[in-house]
Amino acid sequence: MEPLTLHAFPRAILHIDGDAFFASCEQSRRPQLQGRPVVTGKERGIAASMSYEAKARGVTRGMRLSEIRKICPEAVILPSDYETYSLLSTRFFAIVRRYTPDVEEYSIDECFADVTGLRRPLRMSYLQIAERIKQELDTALGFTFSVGLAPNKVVAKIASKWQKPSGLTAIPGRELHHYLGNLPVEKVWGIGHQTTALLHKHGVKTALQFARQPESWVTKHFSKPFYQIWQELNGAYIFALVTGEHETYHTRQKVKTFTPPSNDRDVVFAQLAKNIENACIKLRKYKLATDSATRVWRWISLAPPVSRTISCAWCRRRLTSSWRRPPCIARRA
Amino acid sequence: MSPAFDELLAPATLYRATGVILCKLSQVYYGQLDLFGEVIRLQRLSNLYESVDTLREKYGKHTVFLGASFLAHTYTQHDGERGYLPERQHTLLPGETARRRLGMPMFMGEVR
Repeated sequence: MEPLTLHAFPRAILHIDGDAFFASCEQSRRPQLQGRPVVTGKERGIAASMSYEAKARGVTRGMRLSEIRKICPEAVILPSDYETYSLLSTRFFAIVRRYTPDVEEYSIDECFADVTGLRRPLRMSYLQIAERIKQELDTALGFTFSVGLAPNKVVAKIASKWQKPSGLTAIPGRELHHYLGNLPVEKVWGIGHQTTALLHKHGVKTALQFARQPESWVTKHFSKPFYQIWQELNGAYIFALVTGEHETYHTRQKVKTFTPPSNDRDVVFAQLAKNIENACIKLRKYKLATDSATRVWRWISLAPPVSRTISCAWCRRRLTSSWRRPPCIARRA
Repeated sequence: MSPAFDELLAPATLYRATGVILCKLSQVYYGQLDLFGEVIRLQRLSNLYESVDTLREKYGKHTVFLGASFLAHTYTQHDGERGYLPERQHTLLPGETARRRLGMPMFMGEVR
């Protein structure tokens, strides 16, 4: 079969993904939970993350806790401790930064790292660097990570998912076609339901079929992001790593549920006011309202969009079950 | 906010979540001066929020909050099982509070 590119690693990009990150964090700091099915998300009423032991018993993400108790009565269900997860996440990124400063913190449990050009200073091949980082992460944090090594981010994502948990997969550009041949196109990072449906209409079912399409066909039928994905599937390095810290935001949202549900105007308004306060704390933190004039201007000028977006952000649900109003000292006083 | 809220609020409907989305944010560094005293008012509010932020940094989030959100701060966000807090929030070291804890993951196992 003809390769998609002749180069192996014109750029060497790692994608590192924590296996069942939240549940693994819990198992790591509570050794008595190791080997047991652990599910986090008690405060949400659904499974946010589950250990591989729980996954083996059929627990899936988003499953209701009542259902989990039926199919896996021995499951240890814990409330999410985001404070601990973010602390371990910071350590995870710090360990990767021991090897390269080019690290993109993609989410709390995954990152991209560019190790191009480090073979000579580290006296290791790219695969050995990936192995070393994985080994260090597994040992230091007490749970496993899956690592993918590839010439770009899209392929590195495919590589890290290739073998899970605790996998290490290197996909050199010249062997790319072997990995894409049986990969359904919807498994490619950035290709969602709509694009998959469109690709299927054109008879494109696998990632390799997509990669083999002529450039003119891709530009004719798809927008730029998908053309870029096509380029990356052909081994090019297009999506640069975003290594800087999040400096600004275009939107900021705060949506929170509360229990029990309420139809008391003051209780609901207090919840909304708290969300607005929290959103504004973030605006001030990111200097979106540090200037004297603009700070208040933001408050005032944001009022119209706030009132407009309330209707969509508002989760209004009529509940048939009975409810009780939280005790309200302020009103009695 | 209050008039817009009352317009949207449907009586006899039970609400289980509220939310706000702030859109079209931009980084603004300079405030524009005006002739009508608006800047003075804004400066006062700015000073006020600077103080609120200073208090928050020193004593923890929501040390000072709006009167409108009093009820939300007085009671726990969730009753029942959903109100369970992570163990770390109960296991406080000397000097730690519910809002301010040491930034280190705590080992919860037993050492024999």
